[in-house]
Amino acid sequence: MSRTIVSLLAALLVALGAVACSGDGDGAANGRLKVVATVAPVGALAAEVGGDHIELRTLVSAGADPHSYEISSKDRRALSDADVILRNGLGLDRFLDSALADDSEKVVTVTAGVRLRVPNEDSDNHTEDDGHDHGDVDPHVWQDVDNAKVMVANIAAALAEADPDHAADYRANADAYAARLDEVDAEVRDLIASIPAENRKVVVNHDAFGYFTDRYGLEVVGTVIPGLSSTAEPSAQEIAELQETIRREGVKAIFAEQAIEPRVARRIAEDTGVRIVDDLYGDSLGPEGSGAETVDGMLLTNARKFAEALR
Amino acid sequence: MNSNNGDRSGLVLEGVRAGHGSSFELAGISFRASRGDVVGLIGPNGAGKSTLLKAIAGVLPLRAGRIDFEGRPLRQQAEHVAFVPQREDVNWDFPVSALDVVLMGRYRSIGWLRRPGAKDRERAEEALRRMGLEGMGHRHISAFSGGQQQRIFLARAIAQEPVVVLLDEPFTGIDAQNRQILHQAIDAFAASGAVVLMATHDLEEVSSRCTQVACLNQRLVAFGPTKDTFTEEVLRETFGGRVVVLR
Amino acid sequence: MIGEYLLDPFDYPFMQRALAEVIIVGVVCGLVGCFVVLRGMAFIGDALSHTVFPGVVLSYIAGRSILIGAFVFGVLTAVGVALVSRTRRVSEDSAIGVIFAAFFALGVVLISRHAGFQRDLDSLLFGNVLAVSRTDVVVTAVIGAGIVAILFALLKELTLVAFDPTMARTAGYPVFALDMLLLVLIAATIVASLQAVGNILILALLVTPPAAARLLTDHLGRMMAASAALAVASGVVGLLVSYHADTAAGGTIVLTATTMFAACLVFAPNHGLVATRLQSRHGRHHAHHYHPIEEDADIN
Repeated sequence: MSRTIVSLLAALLVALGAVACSGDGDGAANGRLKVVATVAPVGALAAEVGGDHIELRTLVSAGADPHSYEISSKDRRALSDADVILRNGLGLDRFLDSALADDSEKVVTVTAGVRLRVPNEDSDNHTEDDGHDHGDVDPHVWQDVDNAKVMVANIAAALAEADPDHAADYRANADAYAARLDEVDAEVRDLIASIPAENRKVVVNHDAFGYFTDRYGLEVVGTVIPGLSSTAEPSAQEIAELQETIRREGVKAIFAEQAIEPRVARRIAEDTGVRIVDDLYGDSLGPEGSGAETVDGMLLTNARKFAEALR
Repeated sequence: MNSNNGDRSGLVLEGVRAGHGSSFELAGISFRASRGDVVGLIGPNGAGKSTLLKAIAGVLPLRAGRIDFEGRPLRQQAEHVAFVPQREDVNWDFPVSALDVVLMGRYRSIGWLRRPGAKDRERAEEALRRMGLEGMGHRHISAFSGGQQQRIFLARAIAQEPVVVLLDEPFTGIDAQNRQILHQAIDAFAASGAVVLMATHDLEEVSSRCTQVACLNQRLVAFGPTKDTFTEEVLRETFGGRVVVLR
Repeated sequence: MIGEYLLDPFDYPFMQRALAEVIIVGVVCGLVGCFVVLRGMAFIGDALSHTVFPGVVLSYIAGRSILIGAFVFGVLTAVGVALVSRTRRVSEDSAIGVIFAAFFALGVVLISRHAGFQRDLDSLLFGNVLAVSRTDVVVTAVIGAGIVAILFALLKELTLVAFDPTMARTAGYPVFALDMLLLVLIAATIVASLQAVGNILILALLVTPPAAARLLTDHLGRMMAASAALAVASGVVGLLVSYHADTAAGGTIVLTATTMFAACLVFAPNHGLVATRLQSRHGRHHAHHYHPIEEDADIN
């Protein structure tokens, strides 16, 4: 009996050892630059710029919430193997800090030089979020195409420095993508212009679309979840005030991102008789095949949904 | 009323083994008692008096053997098996009145899903009256003296119209007046045709009140009419030589 | 002015729904909680409120109502505890502790595997009565009605098993099944109340109002009525206060219940601290002291 136990234990240990050693296996020998991006938008932009020259891994995949992401041991391995680590910064990917002790030279904050937006403090019962305070800055900068173009340029520079052989390609890709972003910008302008002026007041579930609404002239008159955090709940008075605002301003729809279950927003929409659009992309991008897996695709998708709901 | 007829009348135990966990077990116990018998269960501490009582009550499962009453398993007639607990085993803080407790004796006959009716209340009040607790049914169970508290549970047993009455150390810490009432209750149960079994240390009571005596010391040392069985020799064997018999 | 304070919040449908929810939850918790308190089951109540958690997570992942998953796990816990504690070597509270920790940990592991969850975790754990839909309220009402109906149908049997399990067994009642039924009723109560107060605080509603009610009366029927009344009052007052003070509804409701308990503790007519202090000072004998049969004192 005890012999059986011992041999079972030995087999178990061997199996564990084999699993531990296997790891990712795809070794260094294919020569591509190893790039790790923290959040989906950064990853998508890196993919546009890097193309086939890079091997890209994005930590917070499409649909997941960066505000509450916890870094795994697989992630840590990827980070230490990486040649370049691209981050958004501005408080969106705080989870990275704990994993970065030795690798900080590889890290590039791709949002250097973007135009920042500071959300209005709407009232004093503003909850402070949990451990990932953005300070006062809205981190969803890529939703403004001008900022996205800056990010793309920063990425190209970072990749070029790490991999000078392909520097020209990176810059060319970056330029091409910037042109694409300009096209999207024009298309979105047209879409929003098709919305009658009196219908341009909106309520959002979570302040994740500030750059978009600022750029294209939509007015956010209320936010369901207070502050920039995604985990707070509005108080009863806040809900009541929001309903008053919706009625008073003639808001046609509440917009929520698909990553969060917008229970409170749904109730508010039901109670005030307005629509709720619950599949926008705010903190993240869409899954493969949704059309929103790239930043340009995401902007268009969101714009179409806004236009359709507010027409 | 005290004759041992055949199988068909009375309580029959055959080869009963029961116990708490793996450590203690009663060896096969067999005896018969007729309707109207008052059976004393005696023995030293740890002899198994309480265990046997609880096995008959159905609280402890039987490891072996059977317990029948008038030819049928006693468990099938559980409605009419009354257990009068020791005072220390009762939760006196529970928010029930004396009447509530006595009414519990009627629950099985009331049946599932129905509430106690006027007839049940009458029977319960009657039982309280017979135990000298008339008019006190509304009081919380802790608002009674020790002797009165026992009488609440005797009244509950009366309300069950039992065929088997089990008493666990009923004479402990009881004064003369309550002792008298207890005697009346026991006699009344016997007269109504029930088999009364009581586990007790009070050998005086056993010798004066019991018709049969079962001497236990993890096994049945002896069983039979008190007159014949309650002898010095049997007592010495039961208690392991620690008996002083005063005449 | 007072009228405005009391009524204005309920102009809003979401507050009306929240009110309905806390009233229903209050009644059910107040009634079922009496048995939790009388049988000393606060620990297992706490365990149940946590062991339903993996069920909630699984339901969430599967896209189904959390009530189903929660209830399944509640029943699993009840069965698990009942079975494990039949083993001699494992005491009931150890069994509860083991299952409690294991199930909750299962929930935590499940959450860690599904990255998108964290934000919803808060409302799962703390409830959000402001976000209940009309359907939610109806479902709570239906489940609550079922629980209360079963409780009253079997009230005398559950009372007997609680007071004197030995007699219950002697009289031939299926005590194990009745114990399981009570556990299932408690699990169902917890599940139905999850949305209002969440996992962490539900125990308070099962324990505090009945404990307060026990101080007010020695009669089970009155205790159940008082407990339900106190629980409902805690819900209504707590909701109202949380509206005006801008605080979390669930926590405010529990604090209100606790305040009521404290008031009962101090001021209850027979059992409160003030009353017992007065009695011993004036040498008055209390109902719970011995009265020999001759005395004609009128005790209640």
